[in-house]
Amino acid sequence: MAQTDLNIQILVVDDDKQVLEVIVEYLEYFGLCNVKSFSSAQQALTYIQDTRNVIDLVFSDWEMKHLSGLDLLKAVRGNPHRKETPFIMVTSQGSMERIKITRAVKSKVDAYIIKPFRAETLKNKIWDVLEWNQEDEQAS
Amino acid sequence: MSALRQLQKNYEQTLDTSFQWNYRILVVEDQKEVAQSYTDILEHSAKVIPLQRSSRSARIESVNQDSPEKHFPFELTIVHSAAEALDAMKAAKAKKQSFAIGFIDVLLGDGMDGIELLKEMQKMDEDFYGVLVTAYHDRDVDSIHRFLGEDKVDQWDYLNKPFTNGEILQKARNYISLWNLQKESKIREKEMQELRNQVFQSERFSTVAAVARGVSHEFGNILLQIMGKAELGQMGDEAEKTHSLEKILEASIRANEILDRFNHLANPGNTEFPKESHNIHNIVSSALDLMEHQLKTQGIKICKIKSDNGKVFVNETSIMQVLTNVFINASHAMPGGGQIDLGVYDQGDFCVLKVRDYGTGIADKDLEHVFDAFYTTKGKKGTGLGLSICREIVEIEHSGHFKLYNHEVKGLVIEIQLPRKVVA
Repeated sequence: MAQTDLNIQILVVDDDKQVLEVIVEYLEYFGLCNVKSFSSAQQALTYIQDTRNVIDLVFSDWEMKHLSGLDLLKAVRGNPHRKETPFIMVTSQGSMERIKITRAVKSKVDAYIIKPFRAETLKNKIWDVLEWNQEDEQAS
Repeated sequence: MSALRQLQKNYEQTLDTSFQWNYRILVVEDQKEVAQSYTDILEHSAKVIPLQRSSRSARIESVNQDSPEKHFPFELTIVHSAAEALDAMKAAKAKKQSFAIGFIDVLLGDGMDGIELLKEMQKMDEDFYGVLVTAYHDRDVDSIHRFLGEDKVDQWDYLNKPFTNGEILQKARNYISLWNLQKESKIREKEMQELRNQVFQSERFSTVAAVARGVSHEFGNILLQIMGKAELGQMGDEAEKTHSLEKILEASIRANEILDRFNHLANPGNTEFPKESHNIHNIVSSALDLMEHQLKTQGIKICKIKSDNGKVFVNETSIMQVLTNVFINASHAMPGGGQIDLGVYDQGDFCVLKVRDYGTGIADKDLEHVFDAFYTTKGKKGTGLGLSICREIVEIEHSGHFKLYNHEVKGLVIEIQLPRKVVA
């Protein structure tokens, strides 16, 4: 188990601004306040490629215009500085999840989450991926 | 794709019903000795080379090879008067074992003659084929033709007594073959029509499925917004709660609008597709709303370049289906993103919608085939049905025109001409 660190830098990408807003609010509610969000995958890519930016976790939608979540995942994995950066993919129900999941797994996605989801599910995914202990945190 | 596979299966099953040839012949002859000669000729000496029924190659084969001689297994029923003949027809029909052809003596003693009898027989069974046999030249073929009627012109023949064995035998073979081939082709044609209808329905369904994928993504987003705001609202203060409720309402309204449009597309309500006055601009907007996600994801921009009077007299669902198909086509033509130009033009009694994409267009060699069912330039991506269905909806259901051509500079133009009012 890793030490829970609520100060980690999180990158959130979704081209639906309403969805982006909800996800950021959820993260803030969990106490994760260092969130950088983009509604444009292209801008997110530029941000990822700039190695001066610290990113401890990426949270990205799959279906976006111009660039998909898979493109971002490949960019993250292809960057020597970010090879190990945890990546959570968001997808919607019924949009060929199985194929997507297989492809995402090949590109070493850490977790995927299907929209819509509730706070608890989101929190579990993040805590699992970062190997944090939820009980520790509750106790502290 | 599984819908198409199902269709293929249906097709195989339908064509699997093997067609049984009908060899039943009714002979109407009042002279017993003559009647007996039919039996001798047709039942005992009917050795023939089989007539090939299917392909040209099979026919060539039969010429080149020493095929064994085969019987035409004629099934003969012999009656001696017009009344008996009609009874026999009735009985055969009741048993669903109609006669294919008949040899009918023209002079039948009392009552109706053979020509009148044939007319009655063909009233009972419109497929029945008659060969009139006579010793006298009292009626010429033109007067018989006028009597039996224009529509029966290819359903009777004429033979003089005394006949030779060869004449009877060959006429029996010819007309039995003709009757059966025509019957079989009618059955196959009916089956093909049935299959075409199924394909049409299935294509409508697959458009719905394509749109459904986009709608499903939209719904995921909307529900996340509703659930997220509800959950976060619960945990926040009064102001936060009010803000959340507003956002939830907003999202619900958006969901409802999408659902409305989708239901309209998926369940047209009835299969009659009634037409009403509509504004093409509204139908275009609805179709674009449904496609919004797909177009956005692919980075396709919509550019309205002309907005004349959009009054049209159409079935909204059908035209929405056409437009959805056209937009799907355009988006497939521009996988890396691009632009769709939309123009509505006034042409008097017609309203013309032009949709132009900026893809590679269609190669000249493919242009003439784009409306052929199952023709596709998209490999496995397309079913090859979209455009033929679009044209069918526009031209047959709406008496409009559906044209497509390459733009002189770049891309494909689809021109949909729709009537403004009821077309008689």
